[in-house]
Amino acid sequence: MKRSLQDVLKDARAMVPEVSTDEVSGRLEQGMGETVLLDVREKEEFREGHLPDAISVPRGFLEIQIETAIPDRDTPIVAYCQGGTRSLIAGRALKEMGYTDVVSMAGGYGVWKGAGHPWTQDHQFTPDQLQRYSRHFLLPEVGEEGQAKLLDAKVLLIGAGGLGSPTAYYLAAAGVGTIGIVDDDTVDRSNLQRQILHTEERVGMPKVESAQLTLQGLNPDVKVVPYQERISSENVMELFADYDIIVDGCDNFPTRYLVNDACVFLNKTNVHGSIFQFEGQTTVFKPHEGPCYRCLFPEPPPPGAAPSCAEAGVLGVLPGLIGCIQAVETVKLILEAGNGLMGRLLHLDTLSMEINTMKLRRDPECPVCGESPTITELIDYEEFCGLH
Amino acid sequence: MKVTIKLFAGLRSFAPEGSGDEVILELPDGATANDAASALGIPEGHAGAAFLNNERADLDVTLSEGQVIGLIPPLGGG
Repeated sequence: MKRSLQDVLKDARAMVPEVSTDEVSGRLEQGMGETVLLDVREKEEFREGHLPDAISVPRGFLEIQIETAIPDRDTPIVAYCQGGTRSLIAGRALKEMGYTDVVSMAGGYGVWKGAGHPWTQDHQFTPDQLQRYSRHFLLPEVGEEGQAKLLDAKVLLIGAGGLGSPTAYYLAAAGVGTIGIVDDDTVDRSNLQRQILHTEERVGMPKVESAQLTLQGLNPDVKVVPYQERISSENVMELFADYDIIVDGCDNFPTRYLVNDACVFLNKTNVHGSIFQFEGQTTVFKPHEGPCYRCLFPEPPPPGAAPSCAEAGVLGVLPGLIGCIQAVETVKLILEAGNGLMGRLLHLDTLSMEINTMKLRRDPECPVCGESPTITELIDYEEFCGLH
Repeated sequence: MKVTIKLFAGLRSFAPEGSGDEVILELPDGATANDAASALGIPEGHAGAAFLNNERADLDVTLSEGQVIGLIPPLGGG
């Protein structure tokens, strides 16, 4: 039996009540509660503008994606499209899948926008970006919204060495929009066993310049801001001010304590990574929410207690592992996805390939983030640690 | 009392020869993690932090029979 579009729509209307754009606007003003606004248009149409807080599941993917997007079959759903036809048909499909409370917005987005109701436009991706980040778009935890967050994020890396190399590489690949890198050093041939940002022909070049060349070659989307200077109490507050997240991949204790204290004073999250020979540690310090570095290790170790990579040697692959975990934690922080390492110290031993994850707590007696802090100014520990 | 000390990173070099990274120590009652570190010859300030049952504790924490204590130093390298 042949059936016309009118027949199909008549059947759909019998199953799916229609509501006017004014009714939806009224509900929106009162607060939607559990009601979900479901945009069933194509992604390209959604990108050009949509109702505030609407979720996008194109008609073609409806049956495939809706159970992930709206798991509860009793969730009230207001479906809409451009003119009100596709959402009726989509509404019928939802009813057939067991969704109990589905209405279709008559007139669709066209009438909605024409009537002057509120609408928003998400980040506008270029065709290149749509290709580059296509595998991120497929993940519900990232999607276009998450990718827009990554592109808007500003992350400052302390050090373009063993840890900073893989962190910077993956943050640039992921499309973290602004990556600042602080390092006053130049590329040495002995760095190339682990510091994968740099190359043989760049020996002698400032590390931040080499990093910028590599990262922009990988992803021209990313703005790399080089700071060829050493962090000190003089410049740290100014350097950190413009960034959302600080990633500590430095190679000495004076800098680690300075970075920690500045992060506590400025309330910036510090993604920590550190290495020694075959072992590495990483965690996330979120000031005033979780422990800081001084809650874990209140004071720097005495001179000679913890030799550097230059003194003690280091397995070249090790910073690759720890730096990649720092990159994962940074991306998760930006996306607000999953459980971060806040309050947990991950200690990796590559020789036994054992990972110990230990609980950390805020220390009420912490000298910098505790109840009665004794450290209220930045400290340059250079002499204390016998660094110079 | 007997306690087991697990040594990490640079502290492994303080394990007595042949004992591996886990050292069983006989300590007087009331001994602390600091006392355990001293008994192994770890100089003051080198031990970093103690971990009891995978939770961070201060080095002056009092130990009890049969406990396993991790000693983890801060790592400087990057």
